Amino acid sequence: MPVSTQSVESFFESMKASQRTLTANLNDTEKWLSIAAGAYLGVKGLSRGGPSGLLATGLAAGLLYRGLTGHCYLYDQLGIDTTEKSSLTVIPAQQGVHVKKSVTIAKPIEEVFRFWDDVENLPRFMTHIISVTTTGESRSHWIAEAPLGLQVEWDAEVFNRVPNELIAWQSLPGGAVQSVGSIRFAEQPNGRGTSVTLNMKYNPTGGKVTDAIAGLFGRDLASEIDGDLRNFKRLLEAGELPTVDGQTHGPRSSLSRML
Amino acid sequence: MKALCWYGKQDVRVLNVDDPAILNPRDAIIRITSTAICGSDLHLYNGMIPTMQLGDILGHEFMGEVIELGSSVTNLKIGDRVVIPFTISCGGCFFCNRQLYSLCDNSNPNAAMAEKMYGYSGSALYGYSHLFGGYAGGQAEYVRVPFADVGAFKIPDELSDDQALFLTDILPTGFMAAENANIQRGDTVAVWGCGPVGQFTIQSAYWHGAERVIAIDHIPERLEMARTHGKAETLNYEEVNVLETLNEMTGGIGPDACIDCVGLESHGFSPDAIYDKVKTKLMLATDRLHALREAITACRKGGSVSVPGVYAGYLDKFPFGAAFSKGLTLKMGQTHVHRYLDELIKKVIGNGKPGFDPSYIITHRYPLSSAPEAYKTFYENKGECIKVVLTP
Ligand SMILES: NC(=O)c1ccc[n+]([C@@H]2O[C@H](COP(=O)([O-])OP(=O)(O)OC[C@H]3O[C@@H](n4cnc5c(N)ncnc54)[C@H](O)[C@@H]3O)[C@@H](O)[C@H]2O)c1
Ligand SMILES: [Zn+2]
Ligand SMILES: [Zn+2]
Repeated sequence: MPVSTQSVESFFESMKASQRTLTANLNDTEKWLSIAAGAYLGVKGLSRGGPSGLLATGLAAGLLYRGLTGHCYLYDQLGIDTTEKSSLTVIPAQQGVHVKKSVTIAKPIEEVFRFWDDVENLPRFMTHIISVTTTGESRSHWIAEAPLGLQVEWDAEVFNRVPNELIAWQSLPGGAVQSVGSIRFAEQPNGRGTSVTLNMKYNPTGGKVTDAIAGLFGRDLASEIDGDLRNFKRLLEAGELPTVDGQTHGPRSSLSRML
Repeated sequence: MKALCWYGKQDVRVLNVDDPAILNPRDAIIRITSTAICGSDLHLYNGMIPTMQLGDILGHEFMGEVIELGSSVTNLKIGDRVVIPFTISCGGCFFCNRQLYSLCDNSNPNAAMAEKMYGYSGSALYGYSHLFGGYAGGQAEYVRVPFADVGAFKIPDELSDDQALFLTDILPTGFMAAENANIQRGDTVAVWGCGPVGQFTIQSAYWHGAERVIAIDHIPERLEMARTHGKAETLNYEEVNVLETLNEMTGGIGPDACIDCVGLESHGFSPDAIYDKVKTKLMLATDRLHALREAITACRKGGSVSVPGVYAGYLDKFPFGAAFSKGLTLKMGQTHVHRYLDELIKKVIGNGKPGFDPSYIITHRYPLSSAPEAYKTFYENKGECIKVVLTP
């Protein structure tokens, strides 16, 4: 890239600008942190299926902790034709946790698309999703595992669907969880199958706090999404998920005695 | 059932554990009739491979009889006699579709862990640490075989266990080692290491067209086997300077192909080998590579270096400049066992002519219950002990 004086100047301009943004967002983050922390402390008082909107947890679908203010509608370029600076983007694109991951699946694009398109298939490879039920034309109801044996529920809608190309969805207001996500499908040459790229964004107001909270529960959202996408590929290619859970082994203590 | 479990460096125990169960629709349960100890098992025995857990069941060379099948396995029957490739492969991914079975995308439940270490994950292996999937191995009375529809090969009744057992690993490994060496008719091939893998590599080099094979080790019994069964010329690296001798033996040109059948626990007495030993002890490097350095240095210009010997981590003082300036081709990796089995079963049967009987490498037999003693003998007495077969 050619470096001109002009571009160096504009570089410093944008640096300053982003510093300003950062300061502003930091305040948001602090606000968010207190809300989230409050939610965390209050979680013990929650009963199964109890009041939603307090706390959402690390969910395979790429979920977010939502503040109580209800300001966290998020949209970005995921499946919608907007730029990072879209007016729809309440939260700057560099905020929040964004997970992007690609895999190639050695199956025809129609088969791969069809499998994801049937939302009731999703719990088969999304580890922490208990069930997804179709509730309308493009709507579905989600139930997911939450920490401490709790469950969280929310509704989602597909707002963009192009067969064999794209599915984009968002959670609907009022649920425990908000997220925006899209998956793109592309045919690969020479019988390599189909590449899919999953884009998930969650937590518009909390920045990296989401991950920090998830960390308190021993979960890493990005690697969960990673694992779910890997499972998706494995289910299609191998027909099952490889596992050693429940297999036999010797005692896991060196005190075991010889026969 | 009885199974050989790992409890740390040079501590393996035969214990009573639960019988294996079907966990997935493509699984099978095999009653093991014969199982072997591999040179690779010694890396585990010596604590060279990370991510082992106490109680892990070892063993990746085993065969037996199908006694239970998951609901999706339709090409096997109860009672079938099968050999099991040591690499676990799904049969449906990019890599399996290209017969790169040991690079299967889908068999390792801990692929994310392997990706952190290697960028991408290879296939899972039986009884070979959690990095490679954590699957229980077959030095036991029974074993669970995942993806059994592609990972269990029926063998003809005319083959005895002794003749069939090495199809699981070391015979195909020797075969692929020779294939990877791009051997042309009339070539001279040098093979480092005369363990079981080396022995079968020597044989396979001839199958691939080699005119001469020169085998290198320091253990007289193994060199003897390379001469008698393998029809190889041999060099004892404690007695001669390997590089100079190879140069002379090839009229100053160097061997056309060099094959490292030693791997990461290479021995040696030259300064570089001692340096490696000190460095691995100090944890500054993970693998010893004296044989590999020699193979690269010895190889003729434009030749090929094939590496079936296992390496796991970082190499120090790797003569990459020599490899580059001589325009060498390097090829390596775990064996794509499934790819070679049909061909090798035919070679062992013989098609009218007498077949190749790989059982000559067996020097020791033990009941499974004596497996700890078998490991100790195999580790301490590499002279007499070349290959150990265990019978449950
Ligand atoms: N690529 C694969 O899929 C695959 C499969 C099986 C085994 N292996 C590997 O192949 C290697 C050999 O297996 P094996 O069962 O024959 O093991 P082994 O330990 O029985 O044999 C190794 C031989 O190398 C000799 N040796 C040591 N240092 C040497 C040196 N500097 N020069 C020449 N010879 C030397 C030893 O004396 C020994 O005889 C191991 O690393 C094993 O892990 C790889
Ligand atoms: Zn082996
Ligand atoms: Zn595969």
